[in-house]
Amino acid sequence: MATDFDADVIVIGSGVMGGIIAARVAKAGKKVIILESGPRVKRRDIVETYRNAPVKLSLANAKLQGVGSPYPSLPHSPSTYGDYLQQMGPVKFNTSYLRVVGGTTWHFGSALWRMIPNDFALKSKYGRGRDWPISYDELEPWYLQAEMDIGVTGTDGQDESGKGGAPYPPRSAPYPMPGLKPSHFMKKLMDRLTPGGFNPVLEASARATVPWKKRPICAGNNACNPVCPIAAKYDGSMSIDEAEGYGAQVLDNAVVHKIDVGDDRQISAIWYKRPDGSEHKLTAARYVMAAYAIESPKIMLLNKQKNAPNGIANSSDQVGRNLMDHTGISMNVMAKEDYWPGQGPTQLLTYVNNRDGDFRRDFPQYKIKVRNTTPVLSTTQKLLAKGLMGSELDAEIKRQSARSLNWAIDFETLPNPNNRVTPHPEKKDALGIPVPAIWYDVDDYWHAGKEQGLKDLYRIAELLDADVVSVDEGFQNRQHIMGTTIMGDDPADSVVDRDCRTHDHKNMFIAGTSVMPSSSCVNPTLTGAALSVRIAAEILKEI
Amino acid sequence: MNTSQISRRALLQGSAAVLALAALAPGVVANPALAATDDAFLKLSTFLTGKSLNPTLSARYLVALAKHNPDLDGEITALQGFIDQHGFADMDAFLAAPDLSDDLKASALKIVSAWYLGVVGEPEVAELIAYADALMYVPTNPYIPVPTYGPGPHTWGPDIIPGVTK
Repeated sequence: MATDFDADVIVIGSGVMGGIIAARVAKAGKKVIILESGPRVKRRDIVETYRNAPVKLSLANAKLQGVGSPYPSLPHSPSTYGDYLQQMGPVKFNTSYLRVVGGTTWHFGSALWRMIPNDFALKSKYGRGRDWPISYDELEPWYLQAEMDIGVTGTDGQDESGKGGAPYPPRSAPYPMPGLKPSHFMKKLMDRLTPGGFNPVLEASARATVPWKKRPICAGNNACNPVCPIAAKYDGSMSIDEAEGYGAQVLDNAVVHKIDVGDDRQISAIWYKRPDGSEHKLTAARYVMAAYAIESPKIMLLNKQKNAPNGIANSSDQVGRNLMDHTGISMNVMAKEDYWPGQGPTQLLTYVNNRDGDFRRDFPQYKIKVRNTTPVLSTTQKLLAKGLMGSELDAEIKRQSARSLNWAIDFETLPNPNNRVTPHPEKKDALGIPVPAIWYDVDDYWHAGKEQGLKDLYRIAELLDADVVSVDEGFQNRQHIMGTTIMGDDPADSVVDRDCRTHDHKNMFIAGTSVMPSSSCVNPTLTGAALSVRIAAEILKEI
Repeated sequence: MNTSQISRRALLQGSAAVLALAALAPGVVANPALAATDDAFLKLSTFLTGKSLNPTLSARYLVALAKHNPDLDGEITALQGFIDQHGFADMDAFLAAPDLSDDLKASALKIVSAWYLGVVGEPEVAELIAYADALMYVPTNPYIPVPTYGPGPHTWGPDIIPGVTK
């Protein structure tokens, strides 16, 4: 084992994707080293920091990004809350991934959807985007294993294509844990919207509904973002803990910045910097890039050299390109009866009536969701800004908190080579490593989806007999980063092959949502995790 | 608030939070440079918010507000003077007074905002004084949780109506 190398496998990035691979490979007795640019964090510290923070950050108030976040921002690994990401294009891509051991799943809402079969064949079925080189059927067993690794709760028997029909997509086994019960707020909404033809879908998620490994069951803290205070919700640190239990070594505050390619075009070593600037070299039989869809391509593009003149795995010039998100819109309404969003976890109620069909030739599939997040803070801020005091203040806090509903839509976006991540030409972090520069725009296809989605939002307001308070068509970022190391059979137009192995370097894999050739409209984490489970199996065949 | 709707757990959390705050701020007293005393500020705040308030929190709000508002003393004196002069029964009567000036209303709103949001100062320099004990959560407490202080497993469901059924 690893006689000629420092490790059998080096994993760059300690999030859910790297964690799953590290845990599986270490469990098989292989020597694994995981590198993470950021520090370890303790749940209790994040919870306390959040409670004590004067500005409560959440995905719902992204406008205040930069004021504060309960997660650390360090000079050698700056937080994406702030001015780290450089916006170069017409549409802001203000995403916020976390650079800590365990990664972005610390603050994810934890929706864990499977894509549906036609999402893998968008080009051949509907003439849009790109096809995957693999099908849903090929990925299905890996989806199931990923659901077991993560510990997914889901409602069996739903038609997740939103047609209100038979269970879909096909599953070879039930969800690992039974689904969360919908809150009263959701039931009441379903009662109002089902007669209008909207078929509710309860999202699968990573919140335990029965004791699962070391996790207690969800206690309705309504704080999935920024942190589950009781670890009922999965995050990548749990897979990392598992990997360490099997002997994997985690190097935190280790910023990978250099990758060497040998004359045989295999990766020969990686280098990382410590916060003090010192540089260290490591070697392995296999390398896994799992630093998520902005850091991974950034590091790869920084490493142009004799045996990789365009950068790592970039003979196709596709590294960093085809950046995708589920760029969306939202609508706030004030209902005329009490709903009380905010009861239970921040589980969403979703509607995906337009998830599949011939319409995808003309406009993208999309997911409509209503947030189950307590609106007390934002409501009170607005009322005080209007000068309300006295008994009217309490009455309005109560009335508006019970009745204000935030609806939002996530749209599928297409891979566009112009939407890209590059290392910024001038701006650098404290270690002298260029920060990411992002150029992003949306196309006519997206705008056609927006027009269609707006009709649905207004129809929902009508069915609820609710007053529309505001509509935001402003390209809201959905924090679902995809596409920057795209998968394909042709090395001329893709970065990794069907096994997530780079076309250029046979001993290097890329894990995560960056390999996805199509974005669908659903949260991509489970798809990335399924591919990661598959990578682990592939590696174990070879070492 | 209807105390029958407060769980034992919530009560324990509440008292723990008060103890923790007391421990965090040993010997917090009114800033010596301030003429307004803790008692005077607590009395004024009680009127402005219409609620029974925690004296420890009150002392901390006073210190923080004074730091961000150089003329806080004058504002407190003016507000209390106006209230005493009219003998208002409550805040609604205060707000309905025809001779309530914009300045007095702004001073009142500043203090009420602090108590309701638990925060003093503009976002860039804001200080948090209270989170779960911020008064904005009082009207909604029986219905939905303060985030991170959930009510526990199996406390929600399609037939569990917030504030009505358990």
